Amino acid sequence: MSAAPATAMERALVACHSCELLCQAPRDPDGPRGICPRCGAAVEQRKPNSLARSWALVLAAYILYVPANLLPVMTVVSFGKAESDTILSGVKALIASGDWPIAVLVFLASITIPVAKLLALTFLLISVHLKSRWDPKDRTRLYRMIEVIGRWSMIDIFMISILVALITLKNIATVQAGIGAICFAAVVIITIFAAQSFDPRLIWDVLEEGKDND
Amino acid sequence: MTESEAKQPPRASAPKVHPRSHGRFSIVWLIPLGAALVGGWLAYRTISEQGPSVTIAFETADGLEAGKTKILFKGLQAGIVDAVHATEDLSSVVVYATLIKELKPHLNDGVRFWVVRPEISLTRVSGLDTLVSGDFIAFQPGTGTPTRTFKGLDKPPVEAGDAKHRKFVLRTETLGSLDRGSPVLYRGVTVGEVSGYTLPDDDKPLTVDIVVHDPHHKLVRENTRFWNASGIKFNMGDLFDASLEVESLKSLLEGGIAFANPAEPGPAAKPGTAFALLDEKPAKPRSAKDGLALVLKSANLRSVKAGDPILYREFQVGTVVEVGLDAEATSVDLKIVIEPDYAALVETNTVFWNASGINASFSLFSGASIDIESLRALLDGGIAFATPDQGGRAVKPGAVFTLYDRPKEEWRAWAPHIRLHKDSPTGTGAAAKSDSGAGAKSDTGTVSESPVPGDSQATGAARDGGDAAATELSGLPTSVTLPGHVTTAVLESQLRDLGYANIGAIEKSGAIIHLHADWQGKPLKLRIDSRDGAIQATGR
Repeated sequence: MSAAPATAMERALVACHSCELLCQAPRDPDGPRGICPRCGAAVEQRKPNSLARSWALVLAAYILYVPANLLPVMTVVSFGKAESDTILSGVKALIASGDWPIAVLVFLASITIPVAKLLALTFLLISVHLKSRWDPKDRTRLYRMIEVIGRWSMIDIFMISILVALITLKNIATVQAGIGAICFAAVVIITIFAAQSFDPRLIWDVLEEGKDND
Repeated sequence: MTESEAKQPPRASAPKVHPRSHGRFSIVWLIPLGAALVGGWLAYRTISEQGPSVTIAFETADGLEAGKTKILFKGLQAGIVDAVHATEDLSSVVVYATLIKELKPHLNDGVRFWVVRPEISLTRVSGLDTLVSGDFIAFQPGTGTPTRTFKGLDKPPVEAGDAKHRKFVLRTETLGSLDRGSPVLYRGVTVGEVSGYTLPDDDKPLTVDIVVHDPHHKLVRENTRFWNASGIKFNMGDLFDASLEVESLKSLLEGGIAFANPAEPGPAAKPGTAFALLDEKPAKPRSAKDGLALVLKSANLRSVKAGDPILYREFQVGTVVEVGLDAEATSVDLKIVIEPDYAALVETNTVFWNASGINASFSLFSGASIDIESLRALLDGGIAFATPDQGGRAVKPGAVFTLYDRPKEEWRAWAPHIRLHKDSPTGTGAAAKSDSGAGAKSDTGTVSESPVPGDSQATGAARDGGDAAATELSGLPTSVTLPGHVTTAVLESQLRDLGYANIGAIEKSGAIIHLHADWQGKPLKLRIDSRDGAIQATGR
C-alpha cells in the first residue's frame, strides 16, 4: 500500500492538458470550471462528460454504419454503363478480378477496422459502466490501439476522393462518390472523436476507489 | 496519508475559475440524434425508391447475369436482375429482379418479359446492341390481375407494345416455311408479320397468329382471303403455261403470308377474327362485276375443272370458276364467267359444249373422224360455245345453259356479227350487238364516246349487263372507273351501271364531283373524286 504512490486526484492536483502545468484541482467538480493560469485551457481532472460523449458518438457511428455499408460508396460510369458498388461489393469485385492484396487492404480498412473500433469502444464503455476491474492494463492498451488505427479507415475515403478527382473522362469513364461514402466518412470521423472523448483514466478510477475501500 | 500530504508539491498553481454552463441534457447527444435523422432519411429514401421485386421464370438463364442484366422498357432501364436461380426440379430458372418503382402499378398478369438476344437471320439482324451491352430482359406492359410472378417468353411478342396493331388468327394444316416474324404482305407490301403459332394437341388445324400494323389493318375485311406466299411456286400447268411465282424475295427466304380482298370487300374484320390460310394464291376472285356469270348443267363432269377456258372460236373469252354437283345431285353445275368484253357473245339461244379431249367416232360407213377442238383444249380441257345468227336475246347473269358433250356440225357454221367494245372503260358488260340483238337499242353504245349530254340512252345495251351486275352487289360501290375525259353523260351512265338510280344534277368543284343519287331506293349524297374515282356516299 505504501508502495503505491498517491494519485494526483488524491492530492487534488491536475495537469493542464495543453501545457502540462500542474494545477490545483477545482474543489467542486460540478462548480465553476478551472482555467489553466498559464495557457488558458480548461483544467479538468477527467475529461468532462466523457462517458456520455463517447456513448453518443459511438451510437451515432453505429447508426451511420448501416447506410455506409448498404448504400453505394462509388458509382463508376464507363461507356454509359453505370455500376454502383457498396463497400462489400467492391471488395467482391476486387477479389473477382484477382486483386487480392488490395481486396484485403480495403476489407481491413473499411470493414474490419471500423467494426473493431466500434466494438472495442463499446466494450470499454460498458466495462467502465460496470466498474469492471478486469485487466485494466490490457483495456488501456486496447484504447491506445483504437486511437492509432482509427484514421486508417480513411484510406477508403481518400481513395474515392482521388478517383473522383482523377477519373473524369466524361463519356468514357467517370467516378461519382455515393452517399455511402459520406456516411462512411462520418462513421470514421465520429469514431475518432468518440475515441478521443473517452478518458482512459476512467478505467483505472475503479481500482482507486477499490483501494479506498480497502 | 499524512505522509503523502506532506509530499504536496510546493508549486501547484491555483487555476482560475470559469462558470460552467450546466444543463441536464448534454449537447453531445444531438450527434446520435442527427445521425439517426440522417440514417432514417436515407433509409426512407432508399426504401421509397426501391421498386417492386418480381420473379420471372425462364427456360434458360443464357446471358442473364445477376446484378448486371437489365430490364428495359422501350430502351429505358426499368429494373435489374438481382439473382438467377434454378428451380428445385432443375427444369427452368427463376430470375429475381427489382423494377423501378414507377412500374409498381403496372405489374399484372398481362405483362410480358422476354430476353433480347442478338438475332441474325437471312432477312434481318436484330438485338445487335446486346452484343455490346449484354442480353437484356424486355418488359411489355399489359392488363390483367396484379401479380409479382411472371413467366418469361422465349421469344419477343411481335406486337410489342402497340395496341393500334391488330391481331388475326389464321388456320392452316401445315406451317410450311412460316415462322415468327414472317411478313404479311398485301400486294407485295409488308403490312404485318406472323407473331406466333400454336400446334394443337389433336388433329385440329394449326393456328397462326398474325399482326397487321396500324394503318393497314383496315385492309383486312371479313371476306379477305389469306394464302401462304412462302417459297417458290412453279406451275407446270400445261405445255404453254409454265409460271414461276414468288411473292417477294423476303417471303421466299423466310416464308410469308399474302392476302387480298375480293372485288367487293366486306366490312372491316374485328381483331382476332379467324381466317383460313389457303395453300396457294386463290384464283383471281371472281364476281359478277368481273363478267357475265352463267351456270352450265352437264350430266357428267368430263374432265372439266375450275380454271378451264371458255372458248369462242377457240379464243378464250371466259373461265370456269367452280364445278360442283347441283342441289339434287342430278347433274354437274359449272359456274362460268364470261369476260365483260365478250359478254355480248352469249345470248339466250347460245349452245355450250365440252371441248375437252378427243372425240373420236368410228363408223363403218363414214370412216373414222377425230375431233379435237384445239391442242390446248385437248390438254387443258375447256368449254366452247356458239351463238346462232338470229333470234337470241341478251342473257341475264346466272342464266342456266345445258352443256353438251359434243357440238353439232351446224353450230360451228354460226357466225353472228356481234359488236364488241373492248375499249369500254367500265368493264361491265359494255358490249352491244349490232345486227339483230333484241336487247340492243343502239349501235354506238359506247360510253366513252358519248360526250353529248342526254345521250345516255345510247348506253342502254351496255347497261343490260351492268344493271344486273349492280343488283348483285352486296355493298355500296366505293369507286367508279372514269376515263381520262369525264363528261356528265359518261358519269351518269357509269353510275347507273354501278346501280345508282335517279341521278340528280351534277356539280363539279375542282376534281370533286357532288351529286345526289339513289341506291337501292336509298337517297344518297355522293362525293366523287374524279382523279381516282373514289365514291363517298352519305345519307341525304
